[in-house]
This record gives sequence, structure tokens and C-alpha cells, in this order.
Amino acid sequence: MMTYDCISDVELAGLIAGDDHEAFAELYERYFNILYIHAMKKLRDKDEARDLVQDLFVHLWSRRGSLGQHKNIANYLYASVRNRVLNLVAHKQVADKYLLSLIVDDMRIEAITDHRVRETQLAGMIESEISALPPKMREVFELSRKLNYTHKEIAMQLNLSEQSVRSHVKGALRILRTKFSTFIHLLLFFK
Amino acid sequence: MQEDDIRQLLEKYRNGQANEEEIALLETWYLQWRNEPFPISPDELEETKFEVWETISQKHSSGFSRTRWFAAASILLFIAAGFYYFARQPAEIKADNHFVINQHAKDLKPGGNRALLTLAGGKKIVLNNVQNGRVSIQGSALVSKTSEGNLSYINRNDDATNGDHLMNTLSTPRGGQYHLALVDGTQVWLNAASSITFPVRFDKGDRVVTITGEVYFEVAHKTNNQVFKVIAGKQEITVLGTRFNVRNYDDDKSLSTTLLSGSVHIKNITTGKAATLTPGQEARILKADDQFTIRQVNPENAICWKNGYFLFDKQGIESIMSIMSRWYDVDVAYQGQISKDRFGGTFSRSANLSEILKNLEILGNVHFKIISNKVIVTE
Repeated sequence: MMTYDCISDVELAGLIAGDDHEAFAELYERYFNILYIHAMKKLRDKDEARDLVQDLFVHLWSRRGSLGQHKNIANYLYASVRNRVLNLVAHKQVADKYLLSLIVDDMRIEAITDHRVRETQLAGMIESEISALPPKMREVFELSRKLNYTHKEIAMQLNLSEQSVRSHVKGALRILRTKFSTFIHLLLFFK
Repeated sequence: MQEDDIRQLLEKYRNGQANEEEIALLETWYLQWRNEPFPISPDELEETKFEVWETISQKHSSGFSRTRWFAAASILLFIAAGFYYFARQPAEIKADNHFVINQHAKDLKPGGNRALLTLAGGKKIVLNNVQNGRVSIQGSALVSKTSEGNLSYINRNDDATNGDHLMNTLSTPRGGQYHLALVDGTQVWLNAASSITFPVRFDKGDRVVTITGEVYFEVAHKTNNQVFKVIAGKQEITVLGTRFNVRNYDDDKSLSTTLLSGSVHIKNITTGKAATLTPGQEARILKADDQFTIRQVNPENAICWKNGYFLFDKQGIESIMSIMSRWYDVDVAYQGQISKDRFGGTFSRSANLSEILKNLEILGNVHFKIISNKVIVTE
């Protein structure tokens, strides 16, 4: 059985765009926890959060053809959750104006005009939530974070060929994993 | 910025009418809104993850591969054979296998249908030794052993005026289990090292039985709404036509009751604290301090034993060995540092003990030695 544990999100997305069910299952495995936790944080409702994340993945699969265009899959997923939450909240407040408290402590909000900065901030916020999970549940997610240093970037840092970095990473991951280490650092390669 | 401004922005957003600036403002607001952590239990997370996947794969019936998902999923799931260490991928087999069996000892066979019936007068009957058919007459009840090896109580005579409230006790030894039908049709399954004391007929008033160990009930509903009560240690459980599992072993730290269907009312006799359970709930009373907790569980897991399986759910080695000692009738001794590993998975109750122990060895930092009817657990 082919294992998708060692490929980056972008590679995974490429496979999903090609109708690969297993790759989709792997993506779900990587991201479900963190997306659900974030949805719960914002919605405070188990059923709503669950429906939201469910719809997100259903929609993702039905539009898988265009998945390959995203450079950063994680950011794409985080933005999807955010947009769905915003839509849901917008919808709810029409029904009941007093249902939600939208107040923030500091209501003098200065808009961050660069959407990429907003994206990065959102990613930082969402990913910090992973530390609330027990180590074993973090493992899959953290591994995929490491894998998403593109092989190209590592190669540039170390003056290695991209190909040799790829095989280094795979080899190292295999050895480390059979010893049940909970956190795998690609930073091993950085002296 | 007022709350109303946010509301207006949201409305525009929803209608697709927000411009770049407005989106920027809204998305910035979003970053600051509801930032306090919202705790979720890992169990709930795993359960939801599984349930959502089920729904997603149903919507795409075109050969969605669930087998891989099953392989990667948590121990809340039922896995047909073998143990699963708490990791995503199967373990490597250790090079040096320290598993040792004393060559002359027989392998320890699993338990079977064995029980002892104590009649009202004190007379004891070993059920595995008697023939099928009539075992005894107790007051107005005919006690017989069926061809499936169950014990049943049937009222011979509905208007019997036998006034004595005769009590019988059915008990299982280590390595035993038994199925009993009470005179009202209530079905009772006893796990190993358990017992039930019950009247041979149910007149007016409550139907009351007392148990020790682990017992699963399917209570018969009575047209006269006669309540059924189970006393297990300091738990008093009141039921009205329902299916539930009660557990109170001496070496357990808490008494528990798991409800599958119907409704039960649980009371701690010592403190008087009580609660009513709905299906899918489990109530626990901590023996040490009478702490009473209720949580949602998968209730079918509580009765795996009745269906012929062990189901381990993130349990340490001591908890697992307790269960092994009761079913295989072995004593357990621990030497040295004992691993804090947690195990999960299902295994058939008809397997020999050595098979199960071998699996545990492969998966965790634990070694076993079987010497006659004793198991020694080391690191």
C-alpha cells in the first residue's frame, strides 16, 4: 500500500486533483483536527463546527480539479474555514441581532491591508492551537508542517541537489518513525 | 468601530458586496474575535473526525477508500484482529523476543461456560457438570439448563401461594461466564468472577437483585410497570425495561454502569447522590471518594465481552492483566519497572493466553513469562 505520509501538501493536492481517494484521506487526516478546533473556537457550537468542516471537505473533493493551483494548501484551508465562519455568522445575525456578541476588546481595529499578512497571521493563530492537543495527535500535523518546507528550499540552504534532499528526508523519516519518535525535525539537516 | 459597523460589514460580505477595504477590515476583526481557547477532549475530537469521514465518504459512494482511513484511525474504532499500539502505523517486530513459556506447562486455555448455583437451602450445584434439562425446583420455579448451556427460571404455576421469598445465587469462577434467564424473562450475562443473587419469583413490589463483578442485563418490561433494581456495591440501579452493563470488580477503582437502551436511575447508596442515564451514557462512582461522573461512550464497547471479544481502550498493562487473570484464571506478578504504555484494540476471548501476550510483547515495552498458572510481567 502506497504511503502518503512523506509527501508534501502540494504533492498531495496534485494527486487529489487526479482523483486519488487515498491522497484525499491523507489530507483529511492532516488537517481535520486543526480545522475543527478552530471552527469550534469561533463558533462555540459542536454541530455547527462539525457541519462546517464536513461541508468544507465535501466541497474540496467536488472541486478537486482546481486544487493544484494553490501554492499553500494550509493557508487555503484556513481561509476556507474563516470565510465559512464569516458567512455563517453573517447569516445568524440576520436571524437574531442579539444572538452573537461581536465585540472585541479593542474596537479600534486597524485593517491589515495586505491579504498575505492576514493569511500569515491567520495561519499562525490556527497552528498555535495545535499545542492544545496530546502529542500523538499533533504528530501527523507537525510532520506535514516540516514536509512543507519545499525540498527546493532545503536544497538551496545546504547546496544539495533537490533530489538528494528528497531521498535524505524519506530515509530519515523512515528510520525515525520506527522508533516512535513523536516529533521529527528536518532541522537535523541544518547544521 | 461599533458593533453595528461589524454587522453591516458582515451583511455586505454575505451578499458579496464588500470591497477590498471592507474585507480587509472584516478579516482583521476576525483575527481578534473569540480568541480564547475552547477546550475539546481528544476523545470527542477523534469521534467527530471519524463520524465526519463516514458522512463524507457516503456522499461519494464511488469507491472511496475507507480502508486506509480505518488503518490510520484511533482506538475508538473496532479493529477485527490483533492489538493496536497507540500510533498510526504498525510496529516493527523486535529482534530479540523474550517471550518464554515453561516448556512443561500447558498453554492457558480461555474461559468457558462455568458457574456455580447456590440454592435457597444452601445446596450448591456445579452447572458445567450437570446434564441439560431440569436442575431443580425452587418454590414455584422450575430451574433448568438449556441445550445452549444457559440457566433458565420458569414459573410453573402462576398463582402459586408459596410465600417464601427464596433467593438463589449464580456465581462464576475465574475462567467462567454464564447466561441466565430470570423468572420474569430478564436475560442476564455474567462475566468471569461475578455473581448475581436473585429471588426465584417476582411478586408485587420491586424486582431486586444483587450483583458482584460484571453483569450485563436485558431487563424484561413488565406490563404492570414493576420496577427492576440492581444493587452493585454502593450503586443502586433502578430500571424500567432496558439494556445495560454493570461493572463492580473488587480490584476496580470505580463502579460503572453503561446504558445501551431504555433508561436507568443510578443512586450511590452511601451518599444518596443519584442521576438518570440516557442510552450511550456511562455512570462512574469512584470508590475512594464517591465522585460521581457521567460521560458519553460507545455503549456497545461495554458489552464486547458478552459477544466474545476483549475490547481495550487506551489501557495500561495492569488493567489488561486484571482482565486476563479473571478470564484465564491465572495469577499475575509484576517485577521491576512496568511500562506505562497504553494499548487498544480487540481480541477474541477464545484465543489462548499466549497468543494475546505475544501480541502485547510485540507492541509495547513489556515481557511475559508463564510458569504453571502464574504470569510474570517485566519490562
